[in-house]
Amino acid sequence: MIKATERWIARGWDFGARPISLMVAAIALTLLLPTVLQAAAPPDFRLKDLDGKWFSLNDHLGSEVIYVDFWATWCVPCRRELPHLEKIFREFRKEGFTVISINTDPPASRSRIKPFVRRYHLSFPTLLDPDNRVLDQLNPTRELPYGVLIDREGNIVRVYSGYRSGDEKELRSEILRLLKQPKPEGAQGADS
Amino acid sequence: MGERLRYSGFTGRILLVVWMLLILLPAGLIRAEETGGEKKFQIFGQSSTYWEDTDGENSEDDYTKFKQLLAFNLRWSKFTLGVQAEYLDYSDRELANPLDLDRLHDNLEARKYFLDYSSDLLSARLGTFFASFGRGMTLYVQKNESLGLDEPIHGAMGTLRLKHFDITALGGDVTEPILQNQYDRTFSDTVRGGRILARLPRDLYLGASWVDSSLARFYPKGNDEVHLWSIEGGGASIAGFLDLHAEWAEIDRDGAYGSKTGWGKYVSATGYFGPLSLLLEYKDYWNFEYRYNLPPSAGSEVESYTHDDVRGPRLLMTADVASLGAILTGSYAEFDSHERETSAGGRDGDHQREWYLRLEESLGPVYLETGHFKRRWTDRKIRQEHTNADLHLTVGQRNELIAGYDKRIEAASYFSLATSRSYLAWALSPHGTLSLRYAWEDRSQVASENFWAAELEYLPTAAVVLNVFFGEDPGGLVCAGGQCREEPRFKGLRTSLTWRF
Repeated sequence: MIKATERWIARGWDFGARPISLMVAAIALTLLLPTVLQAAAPPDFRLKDLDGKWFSLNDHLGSEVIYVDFWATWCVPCRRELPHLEKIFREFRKEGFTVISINTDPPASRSRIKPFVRRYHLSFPTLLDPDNRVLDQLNPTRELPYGVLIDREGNIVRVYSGYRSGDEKELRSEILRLLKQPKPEGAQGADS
Repeated sequence: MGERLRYSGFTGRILLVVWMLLILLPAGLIRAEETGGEKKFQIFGQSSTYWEDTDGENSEDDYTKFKQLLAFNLRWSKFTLGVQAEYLDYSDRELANPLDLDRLHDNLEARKYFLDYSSDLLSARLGTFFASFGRGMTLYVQKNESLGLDEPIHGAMGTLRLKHFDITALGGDVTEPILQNQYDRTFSDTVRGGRILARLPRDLYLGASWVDSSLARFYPKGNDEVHLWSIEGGGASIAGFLDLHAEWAEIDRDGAYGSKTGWGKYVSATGYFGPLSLLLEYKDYWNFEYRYNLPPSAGSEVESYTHDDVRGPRLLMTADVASLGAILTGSYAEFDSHERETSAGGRDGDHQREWYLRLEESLGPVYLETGHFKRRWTDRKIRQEHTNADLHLTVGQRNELIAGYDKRIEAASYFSLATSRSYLAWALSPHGTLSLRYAWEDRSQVASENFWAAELEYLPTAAVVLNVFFGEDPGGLVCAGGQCREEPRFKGLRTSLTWRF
């Protein structure tokens, strides 16, 4: 390690002009694109829940604050995050908040998902995405856990990647902020 | 069908830039025009920039890797157009770690591209897609993190949702990257299939599927023709406490050296009794492993298995001990091979016994996860053990102390290999995370190594994540869904900048 550090320092920043120019170009693109693009709406999706019933995002979009959470049974940070999501869901569901969890385990592990959901007392909908269609669209690099927060207007407000201790407090205050925003006209809220 | 979009050289780079601008800028302008009214045209996606400076054993083995990923979706009404393009630049591709599967790809590739249509009646996709049927016994084409594979089908897929039936049909080509790398020529497979699922009263279901594949082989040149069919049935919440699933599949393979048949049989029953869940499974696989299926694993999903010749039951129990904040999981399985019966010469069979216990404990600021796994091949006197423990202690609002231990043993009458690893990390996270890590690895008590690393994850805004890693990452075995992969070791500097829009 010490030898590697010495070598790295000896080479200084001379990594070659090509990677540095590419990095600069990528950062420039990152800074440029927000000037022409704005907050986006997620694609509608239809997935089956654990009992085989179809669930459509469109039935909730534009009226509720939604947190779409991608997880897997083998993912340790997911196991730490899910009980917090359940707690937040129970706290705010009557005010128009819902969690839609999408399991990403391979179909071969399907029999283990429902015991997992019951073990953690998860009462929000758990959906299956066996063709990874929604994962492809909302989470192209397939990070876990991965959450997409959607406001009452149906726009993606923020994306959460990974779980660190205390993340749930930030998420809770963001949800609270979104729930205080006025409902869009014609929205069918949970309490309406 | 489906020759992937590939470009290389300077012309290719110019083409990619023009192509991205052509798609992105008009989309952005259309969005801008519509922000005052009803939003019907939307764009969302992600840009990730990676840069690695890897230190080799000698200074001449050092190399840099640059990767730019741009994934975006344009949504209009019921249609979504998606593109995921990657640009790769190695200072010397020959030096890249063999376990880095990025090096198999061209400098510039549209890795994913699709046009989606979605309504209550029909979902359809043209372009790249992943797919699986049932429990993955007849078809499983997915990005596989544990094997580092990310090869979709290039073709078309549609699902028709009728009142009591779901009907799916698909077809396309898949490129096999590992063989392509080993034998320096393109290996392209063809997959087509269909599935029908009938929804019966009381949450019962009945289904059937078929798959025809043409699989490129490395020698002699040509293709193996593989045909599979399956029937499945089951139900959810039967009598309020029982989930059932049964699937029967058969496989026929015509190859250069004749024909081969096989089967896969799988039954599972899950019962829920208050805080206790019991899952009983039985598997019987014979000549069943092929390139595009992944049947339910013979045992623990975080160990490695093959599914060509195995049969036996497994019992998995989980208990939620709420009063102690603990979840206890226990599993016992026994497997046999068919080979034991069919070999008259008394050739060794493959009788295996395995069990594991896992405890998750969450008490205030403490989170502990620990487990022990043991597997024995009784005929061959081989033993495999895996013990691990992870302790997370939250200090204050966001800071965390993480300590872990992991030990694997592979032992037989003539050898024994033990690898243990301990690690300690301190994560400070007011506006991101700064982690300092130390790992110590010991191999059969004859060699030990130390690994130091620091990692910064910084979020300047909610949509941007900057990650910088410096030091040594020991890598190791990563398993998911019964498949495992040896993650490469890394030494050097690694940065990434991700922006989601």
